[in-house]
This record gives sequence, C-alpha cells and structure tokens, in this order.
Amino acid sequence: MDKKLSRRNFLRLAAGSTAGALAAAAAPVSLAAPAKQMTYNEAPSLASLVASGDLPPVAERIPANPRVITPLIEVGQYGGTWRRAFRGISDRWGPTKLVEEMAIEWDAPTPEDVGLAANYISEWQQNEDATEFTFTLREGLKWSDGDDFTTEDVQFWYDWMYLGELGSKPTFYTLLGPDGTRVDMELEVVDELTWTVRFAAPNPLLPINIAKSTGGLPGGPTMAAPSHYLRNFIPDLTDDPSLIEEALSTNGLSTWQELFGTGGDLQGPIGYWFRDPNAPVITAWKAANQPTQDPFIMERNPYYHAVDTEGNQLPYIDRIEHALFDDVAVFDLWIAQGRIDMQGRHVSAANFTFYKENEEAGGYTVNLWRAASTNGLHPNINNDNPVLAQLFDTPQFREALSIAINREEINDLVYNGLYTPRQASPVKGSPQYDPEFEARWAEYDPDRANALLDELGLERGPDGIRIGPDGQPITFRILHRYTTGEPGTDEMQLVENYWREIGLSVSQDVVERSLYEERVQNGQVDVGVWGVDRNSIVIADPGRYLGTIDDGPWAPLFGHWYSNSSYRQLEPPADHPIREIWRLWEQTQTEPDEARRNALFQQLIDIHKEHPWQIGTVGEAPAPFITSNRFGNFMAGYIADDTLRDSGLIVPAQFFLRS
Amino acid sequence: MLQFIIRRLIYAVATMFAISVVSFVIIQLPPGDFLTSYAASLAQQGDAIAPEQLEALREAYGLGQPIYIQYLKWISGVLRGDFGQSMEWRAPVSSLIWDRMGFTVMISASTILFVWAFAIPVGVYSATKQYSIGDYFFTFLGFLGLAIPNFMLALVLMWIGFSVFGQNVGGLFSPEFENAPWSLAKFLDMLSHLWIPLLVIGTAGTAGLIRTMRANMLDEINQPYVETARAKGLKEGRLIWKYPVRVALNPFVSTVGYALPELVSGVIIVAVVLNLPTVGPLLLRSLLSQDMFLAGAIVLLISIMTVIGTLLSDILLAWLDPRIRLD
Amino acid sequence: MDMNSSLQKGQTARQADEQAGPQELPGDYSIDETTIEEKISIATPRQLMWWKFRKHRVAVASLFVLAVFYVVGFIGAEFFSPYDPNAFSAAYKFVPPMGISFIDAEGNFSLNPGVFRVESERDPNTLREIWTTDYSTWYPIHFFVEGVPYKLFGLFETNIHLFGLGEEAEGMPIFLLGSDRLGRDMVSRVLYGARISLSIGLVSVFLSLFLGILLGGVSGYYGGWIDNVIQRVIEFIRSIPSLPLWMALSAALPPEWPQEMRYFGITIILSVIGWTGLGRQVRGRFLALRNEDFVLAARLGGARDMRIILRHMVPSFMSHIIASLTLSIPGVILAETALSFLGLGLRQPVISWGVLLQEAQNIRTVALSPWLMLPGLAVVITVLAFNFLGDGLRDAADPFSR
Repeated sequence: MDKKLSRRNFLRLAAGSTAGALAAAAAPVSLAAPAKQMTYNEAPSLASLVASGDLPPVAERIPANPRVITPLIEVGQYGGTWRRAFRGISDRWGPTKLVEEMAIEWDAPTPEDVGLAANYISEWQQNEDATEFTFTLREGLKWSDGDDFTTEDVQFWYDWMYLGELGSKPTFYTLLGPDGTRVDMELEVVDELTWTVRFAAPNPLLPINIAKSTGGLPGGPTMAAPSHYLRNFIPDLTDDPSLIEEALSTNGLSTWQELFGTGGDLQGPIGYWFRDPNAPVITAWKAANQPTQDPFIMERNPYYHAVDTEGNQLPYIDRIEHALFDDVAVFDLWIAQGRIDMQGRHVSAANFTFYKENEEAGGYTVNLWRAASTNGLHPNINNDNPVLAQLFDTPQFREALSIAINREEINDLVYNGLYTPRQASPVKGSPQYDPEFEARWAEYDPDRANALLDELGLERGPDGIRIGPDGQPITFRILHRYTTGEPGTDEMQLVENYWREIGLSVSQDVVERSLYEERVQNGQVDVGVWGVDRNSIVIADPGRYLGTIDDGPWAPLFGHWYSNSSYRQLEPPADHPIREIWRLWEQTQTEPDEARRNALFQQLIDIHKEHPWQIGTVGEAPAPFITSNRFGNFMAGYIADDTLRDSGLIVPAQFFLRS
Repeated sequence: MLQFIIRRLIYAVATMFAISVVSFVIIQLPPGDFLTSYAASLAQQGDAIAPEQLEALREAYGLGQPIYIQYLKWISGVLRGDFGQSMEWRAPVSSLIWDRMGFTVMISASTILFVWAFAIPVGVYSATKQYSIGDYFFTFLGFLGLAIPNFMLALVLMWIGFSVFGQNVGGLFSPEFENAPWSLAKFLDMLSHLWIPLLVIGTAGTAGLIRTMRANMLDEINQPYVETARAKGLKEGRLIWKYPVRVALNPFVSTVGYALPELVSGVIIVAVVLNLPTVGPLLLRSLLSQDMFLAGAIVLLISIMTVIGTLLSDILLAWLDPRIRLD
Repeated sequence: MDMNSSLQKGQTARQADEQAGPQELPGDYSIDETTIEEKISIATPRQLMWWKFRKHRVAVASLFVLAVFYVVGFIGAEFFSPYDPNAFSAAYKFVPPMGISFIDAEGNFSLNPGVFRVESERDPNTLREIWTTDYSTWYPIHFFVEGVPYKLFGLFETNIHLFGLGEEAEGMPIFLLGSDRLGRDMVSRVLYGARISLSIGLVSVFLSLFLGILLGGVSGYYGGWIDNVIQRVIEFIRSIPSLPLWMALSAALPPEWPQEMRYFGITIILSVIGWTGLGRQVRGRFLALRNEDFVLAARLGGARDMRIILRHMVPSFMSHIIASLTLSIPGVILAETALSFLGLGLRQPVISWGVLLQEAQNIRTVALSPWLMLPGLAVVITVLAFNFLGDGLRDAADPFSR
C-alpha cells in the first residue's frame, strides 16, 4: 500500500535552456514569424455585426502584423461562456490576471520552456549597456473602441501618470542614480509607432520586469493609456467640463483626480478596466458591467490584436462570468456541481479528495500545477530583544532551528504527502534551482540540533529550557495569522513541539491578518510565518532574498533602510552579510552581460544557501486547477507563481470551450 | 396618550443618537483600520502597497484624524442622506445597501410569516394539551431547531440539497435565472432555493415563540373567565381561539419590535454560508475589514429599525392595555 | 404527621379518628397516612416546587443528562478520555467511529466489549483514506488502563483512564467517535471541549445574574429617575444588533492575551450583553412586589433597603429567576459557537465545542468525514437539556399551574 504520492518532477527546466531563452530576450528581438498575409477569421457573433455594418471587417480591426499565438494543444472553436467565481471587488487579481496585456509577456509553450515574447509591440531593442530601450508598436493596433493606439497614448501616460500625480513610479522605471536618489525614466517619442526610454543606470532586467508587472495601470498596457478617452476627464484637456461634473456626482467624489484613483493606485471609477466598462482597453475581454454586480461579466474585445496560427482572431471564448461568493463552502459545491469551467484561484489543495470524487458527476478534471513557494519561518534578526536578535543572526542557532523540524512528518500528517520537504529556495524548474540549496539544513536531526545549541553555550536550565547569554530562559513566539481549520495551524503546532524538544520555550501568537501586517512592518515579531514565494524566476522579484518583503520578516528593519521606506528603519553594520547581498543585487541589476549577470545573482543566492535566514518546511504545493471537460488548451504541470502571472502564463486568450 | 407617545418619541431620538455614536465606536474598536486590513489582504494576494501610497490613501479617507472628528463628519453626512463611500467596494454605501434591500426584506418577511404561522397554532395546541405527547413532540421540535448551531445546519442542508436532490445550491437562484426577467419559472426556482434558509432560520425562531405563546396561553387558560365560558356551553375550539388566544397575543405585540432586526441580524451567519444576496454578508464583510462607513450605515440602520420597532410596539401595547400608559 | 398537626389543619377529631383506623393502645399516636391535600397544604414552597418538577419527567431526565455531562466532561474529562486531545497520529487519520462489539472474532459472546481492527488504504487517484474493518481481529476493551498522566481535580497525580486498548492491539488506538484530520481522538476532544463550553455557560450566566439582580433590582425597587436611566440603558443595549457588538468586542480583545484570558474576556462580553433580559424581568418583579404588604412590613420594622431587597424580595421570585437563568445558558453556549465560527472566539490549542465545530465547518467534512460534526450533537443535547430543565423549573415555580 503506497501511502505517499510519488512525486514526479513536474517541471524540468534545465538552467541552460531558460538562460538561453532569457538570453535571447536580452538581445534585440523581432517576431520570429513575419506576418503572413493570411485571410483572417473571426467569431460568428462579430461576423454578424460586420455583416450589419456595425463593425469594420476583421482585417481592418487587427494590426497589419498581428501577434501570432500558437495554441497550446490545438486550434480552438469560437463561442461559449467561461464561468468562474470571485469574492467581489477586492478579489481583482483573479479577473485581472486573465486579461493583463504587457508589452512583453512570458511565453511558455511547454512547462520546461519559459521565455519572453513581444505582445502588442512588434519588437523591442536595447543598446549595449542596457540604458536605452526602443519599442515599436504594431501598425494598425487599435483600442477596443476602434481608436488608434499610437505613441500619443504613450506620451499621455508619461506626462500624466508617470511624471504627473495620477499614477506612481515603479522602481524598475525609476532607478537609483549615481548619487543614490531615484532618477525618473526619460521618454522620447520617435514617431507614431516608436518610442525610446532612457535610464540613469543600466537596466538589463527591464524586459523581465515588464513581463511580471504592468507597472502602473492595473491590467495594462505597459507605458500607455487611452488618451482620447481619459483626456475628457482632465480639466486642462477636456472639451466638455460637464462630463467631469457628471462623473463626479455619479460617483460621489469631489475632485477630478479622485476619478482616476487615490494615492496613485489608478483604481478609480474612470479608466480602470475593472470598474469602468467604458474605458478603452487592448485586453482580450473587457468589462461589460460592474464588479459589484453578480455575476461580473466580461465580453470579447473585437479589436484584440492577436490571431492563432490559422488566422482566427482571438479570443475564442465570447464571455467570462464571475459569480460572487462569500463562504468558500459554496464555491466548493459549485465546483462539484460543474458550475466552474476553469479556475485555480480559491481552489484548495486540502479539498483534493472531494474534488476528485465529484469529477465524473461534475464533468470536470482536476489538473495540478506546482506552486513556486515554500512554507517559511522567519526569525527576525532585527528583534527588539537584543539577545534574540543576536541568537537569530547566528548561523548555528538557525541551523539548529532548521534541522529540529521533522519535515517528512509535517508533510505526511498535515499535507497528505503532497508537498515536498525542502528548504526555502528556488523551486525545481527555476533557473536558480540548486538541489544543494533545496537540501540545505533540511534533514531531521534533533541530536545534532541539540549538539549545536550546546556548543553555543546554551545550557539547559532545571526545567529543560535553555538559558541564553543574558541568563534568562530562551523564550520566543511564533507570530502567524492561520485560523482554525487551516492546515497552517497544525503545522505551527508541530513546529512549536519540535522547537520545545530542543530546549526552547516557544509559544504561538495568533493574530488577525491586518494585525500581522502591522506587527511585521514595525518589526515587532520574533518569528514570522509566511510562504517564501516568487521562487520561479527569482531574478525578476528577489525581494525575499533582499529582506525587503515585510510579511517574511527576517530582517524587516534592514529592509526598510535599504528601500528607504517610511517605516521604522535600522542600518545594518558594515560587515553584515546582508550588505554583500545588496551589493551583489546592485551589480546584477546594472550588468548588461547576461552570463555575468546570472553569475552575480547566483552568488547572491549562494549567500543564502550558505546559512539560510528563511527556514522553509515544505513547499512546491500542488496548485489544483479545475477544468471542465469541455475546456480546451489548458495543460497541467506548469509552475504557479505570481511572477509568472499564474494561469496568465499560458495566455488565456487561446483557451476555448468545446460546444 | 399623546403625552405618552411624545415622551417615547423623544427617548427614541435620543437612543438613536446614542446608538450612532456607539456603532461608530465599536466598528473602530478592533486595532488597525481599513487600510491595515486592505494592505493585509493585498499581501495575501502577493500584492504590495508602498507605504507612501498607504499614507496618501489614509489621508484621502481621513483615517488619520481623531475619532470624534471622523464621527462628526460621518454623522453630518448621514443626516444629509449621504452615507459615504465604501472603501472596499469603492461604491456609494447607499447603493450597495439598496441593491440588497429587496431580497433581505423578502427573506426576512417570509421567515417571519413562516415562523408565526407555525408557532402560534403550535403554542396554542401545546398549552391546551399540556404534557401530552403532542406537547412534548412540538416543544422538542422547536427546541431542536433552536439548539442546532445555524451555520452547521445550513451547511448540512446545503449538502443534502446538492447530493440528495441534485439541486443547484448556493445563492437564491440557479445560474440560468440569475439575470433573467421575472417569470413563474424564476419564482419557483427561487422557492426551491428558499427552503433551506427558511428551515434554518425559521426553526431557530419558532422555539422561542412557541414557548412564549404556550406560557401566555397557560397563564390565561386557568383564569376563571375561561371556566365560566366553558360552563356556559361554548364549544372548546371556539372558546380557546376567541378569548385566551387574543389575550395571550398581547405580549406578542411587544416582541414584534424586536422581531425584524433580530431576524436581519440572525440571518447574517446563515446568509454567509448559503451565499444569499442580502445585507447580512455585506455587514459581516464590512465588519471584518473595518470598512467603517458601510458597516456603520448598516449597524445604524438595524438599530434604528429596532428603536422604531420598539416604539411602535410600545405604542401599540399602550393602546391595547391602558395600564402601561401610567408607567 | 401526628394528630395534633392534622387537628390544626381543621380536621375534626372524628375525621382524624376515622382515618387512623383501629387504634392501638398504648404507644404511638402518630397517623401515618395523610392525604395528599394535607401534604400539599403544609409543604414548604421548595418542596412544592420539587414535587411539581418531578411530574415533568422530561425535565428530570434533562437534569440527569446534564449532571452526567458536567461530571464526565467538566470534572472528569481526563479520566474519561482515553487519550490526550492534542495527541496526533499520522497513521490513523480520518478513522470513522469504531463500533463496539460484544461478539469477538470467532463469533463468541464476550461480556467484555471490544473493537475490531481497522486497516487503511489510500485510493491512488483521489487520495482518499479508505478504512476497512478487519473482522477477523478483535481486541477487548480494557478498563482502568494506564495512559497519559494527569492531575485529577488538579490535585492528585495519576494516569488511570476509564478505558483503552491493551498491548494486543499493536498500537492501534480506540476511536469510539472517530479521528480527525490529524488522527486525534474525537472522544477526548469532545470531552475536553465540554469543559470549556459548559463552564462558559455557567460563569457567564452567573455574571449576568449578578448584574441583572443588582441593576434590575435597584431599578425596580427605587423607581423614579434611576429606573428611567437603567431602563433606557437596557433598551439601548438591546437595540444594538448582537452580532456586530460581539464581533467588535471580541476583535477588540488584545491579541497578545493568552487563550485563558481570552476565554474570560469572551465570557465577560457575553454576560455584559446578556444581563439585560434578566434585568428587565427582575425589575418587573420588583415593581410588582414593592407594594406588597410584607415589604411594607419590613420597612416599617426598620430594615435597610439592601436588606429588604436581598432578604425578603429576592427569595420570593428566586425560583423564577433560576428558571430564566437555566433558559439563558443555552444562548451563551450557542453564542460561543457562533463567535468561534467567525474566528473571533476561542482558538487552537484551546478546545471548545465551538472550536471543534469551526474545524468541521467545510464541505470536506460534510462529504467525507461527517463524524467530525459530533460536537454539534453535544451542543444540541446540552441546549435541549437546559431548555427542558428550565421549562420544568418554570412550570414548577409557577404558583398558578396545576
């Protein structure tokens, strides 16, 4: 009787091939397949509109050289409604990741092969030292209302949202200049389709950063906004001030800036694809009603710029509907009833058996991806208690903490053997994956743990608790926000037991989420608990290894100092290893040469490998996706990671529903 | 009588004012505010918000100001009919509540009707046949409904609806009727979804009412005038319903005041589990995320309904029973 | 009951004589048989109440059930539980409740009950743990076994538990109510949960009683503006919807507080919100009673207000109050489960029925391991028992019922 599921390597991404793909991205890229003069096809619903004269013919709607997307498995059929579920307006990432359009996107024809592709631009070029990038739009690219998408829209974005007060300045546009302050990106429009950006320092990671984030307007596009529409709501530009008045009163707001958003988040009632059905977009589907309504409906964009290999204009699917729910039990029942066509969000691996047992009745399949995350414990080396701070910053102490944990038992007991016992490190399939790092301090050896603590001079007191250098018993608390019923509570109970057994007085501090945020931001935490994620393309988002992501508070105050945040800061001593980490990151960011850059970054990771600060327990969780049996062009086996945009990785526009 | 009404009216207004203060305060009680909750949920989704942005939002929403100023701004808005913006939904509070009001009232009203239609006759029966098998059985049934934790019952019934009846569970309508225009089929579909909430909420409510009815009836049944009527030859059934029941119903009038807001309040947990489009889940969500204007508005609304309900039932009771007026 | 007493009650000597039957001389002049009416007419109020209460059989049964619950759960949880409620077992997850069998593997009857062995298999496709009973292997249940050490009544160290399995079971634990997702014994968890849930009810209601009598009494006795103020406060508290009030107050409890303090905090919150019902009733009674003659007499006798309230008025409606109290305990128990459902009540590692129900509140449990909802049954039985008990007490205390 085999109790454990044998773990296949769902992802085998040889470091070489990825480096190759990403290397190709760094060099000037133009579309591999030059646009052929194909006859284009379109969805029947659009064809009827063309016939009645309400819509221009497809050849006039898409660019002269549309993006050609190779379907993952087969050429699809038009039609259908894709049913999903969400929690309401705060749950925007579900719908958003389905439609995001960045200038450069991830391209993953197979799970082993992740690269970059030009999306609504036809090509991008960079100069030798990566301080200057030039982008060229596809000719004939249009917004969803038929208006031309030109560099006028780019200039508008630059003036009003980047430099202006409406938006924000993402750090990968606004690099640190030579004098240590952030320098704005310079933008120059070359012609109707081409623009150039310049940086104060080399920015070789720009393409990857663009692929992982829209950098401002949620949903995209990158570096552009529909100027012909938005100008109507800016007093200086509008031809009709009454429009602004009307918008303000409908939404109960007082200033025109608020229409666009608050604090630069660009999530206001005007211009944000999610809340403004009238906003022109270039996404495959656009909002047809408000997310406060149930269901929230998205409909196809007739001017979408991509076709498949046979010239069919994408997307295949006509409509997406999101039904609203509060309690996840209802969502689970919907899945069992076959009311969900394809979704991964809110689908819990803990209910795997339940989903599988209802597969036949519900007419769906459970597909597994792997999450690029490891459950992690973060001892805070900036602890207010100097004794704890010092102990946590001592590698032998951390090693003892790490090897005292019985990861196999956690995996078996809490996660049904579905996870992988491992250290918090890049996952299999990542270019930075290192099996040695994965195994570093991941064995279960309480004897050695005890020996290490003895060596540090931490003797046990009369009650079995070790005495610290200040003569007090070593006591600390694990801070987490898991609620009753979540597997995390069980895992924390086990960890508490393991650490007690090596003579530490450990207890749990369970707080509500927002309180957890507050506490970690202030550094008022002994050991924080958060998944160490973004471990697929680590170089795209290395915050966890830099200490700048607060919810994994292994060095929150150092991190604040580094990112010059307004939260509480603490400057690290000059000889602290974190300085070396940061120094390597600076160099990585500005190293134009691919091979040297990767080598530098590897050194950074290796510092963590030497003596990890983030103690991982189990990871690479199965990320289940429910797909209806009618749903086509979805494949299992990919990495689910925020950096890769979760299911956005395999281009939702090429999904289809069999009739 | 008029003096009585005026006095009660003044008290009612003062109470409502006090409630508004308390509502506002209790929503703010938990540590943090909407933005900390918002930042936390963002973090959970792998999103992050820069501290500068957070500060800007905090200023825009006025969350940094002392609480009495926030309260004054809010209450002055409320008195003008402006309930503010929900920070989580980014929509005017009034429209959010209004959208769900229809269904809330409908479900509550059906439940009240169901409860009363069931509880009153059963209470009467129980009282007249005290200690009989029937009495025990109905009392037991009522108590059973009261004893089973609502959320558990809702979940189990939903599961039964799905696995045994193959129903389309969750929410008030099956997906094909969700946005369709009203028709007989849609109405029947709604009924088929309504049985679970009615059963769950209704059974909890009937127990108390059965007991009260029974106790009131028992008080009356042993009174001399009932004996008299019986001696005079009035048939038992007619006798019971004509005299003691009407007197026993009097105290009911005083419970009417609490019936509506209790039902709205009590429905909250069940509505969350069953995914009903009512005000309840909205309130729960807003309390958990400290969306103060939305939560404050709903709490105020429920409280006002209670106060008005109590006022109405007090007046009604005073009209029916002159002794109360002398209080 | 002697002749003198029955004579005092107005019987004629002749009647008493007739009742006595053939006399025996000399000796005992007492009359053994007395009529029921006589008994009733000379019984104390407390005796009357008890007799009436006894008539209500269900109420008596409820009293018995509750007594059992309190003894087993509240006092003797450690003894009656075979295992530590937090002891997990990776090998025995989601075991359905084991049935007791008096017939062993060979088909022979055995006075000593036992259980059959269970084996598990994991479905490779759905990963479901399927437990099958091996009817060829039967283990007798041992009584008064040695197990996890504990302190009986918090004083005596011992390690005897009521029942368990012996060594022949090869490490298989006995799960009479099944095991949960971590292989923890549900019997132990429900019993330990009883301790918290049952005590919250009692403590909270007593606090409410105290507040209710104090404030309700003052309000009813003095009347006037004090009464007005307290009445308005009561009305005010009752007007605030209960759920948001609970939530806000629970959420406001400092999270650093250890679970024990949270427990007290929640108890206090529930009683502060709950005293209003009782307060109103007490006030009503006081208003009715303060014009009674005996109160007037006491006042004329020079007794101080507090003494009058406590010594004279309170005892006269004590029975009603007790009945009300009993009827409010279930409300508190249910409130605790509701709060835990919302995540605001008690949390792991504290075990209460509310916490257990929250762990069971998901589709997986209902569909795959419904025995985890058994704490709900415990809640139901307790609430029912309290309600019937309170009903019986109230009927008994009511001087007008037959």
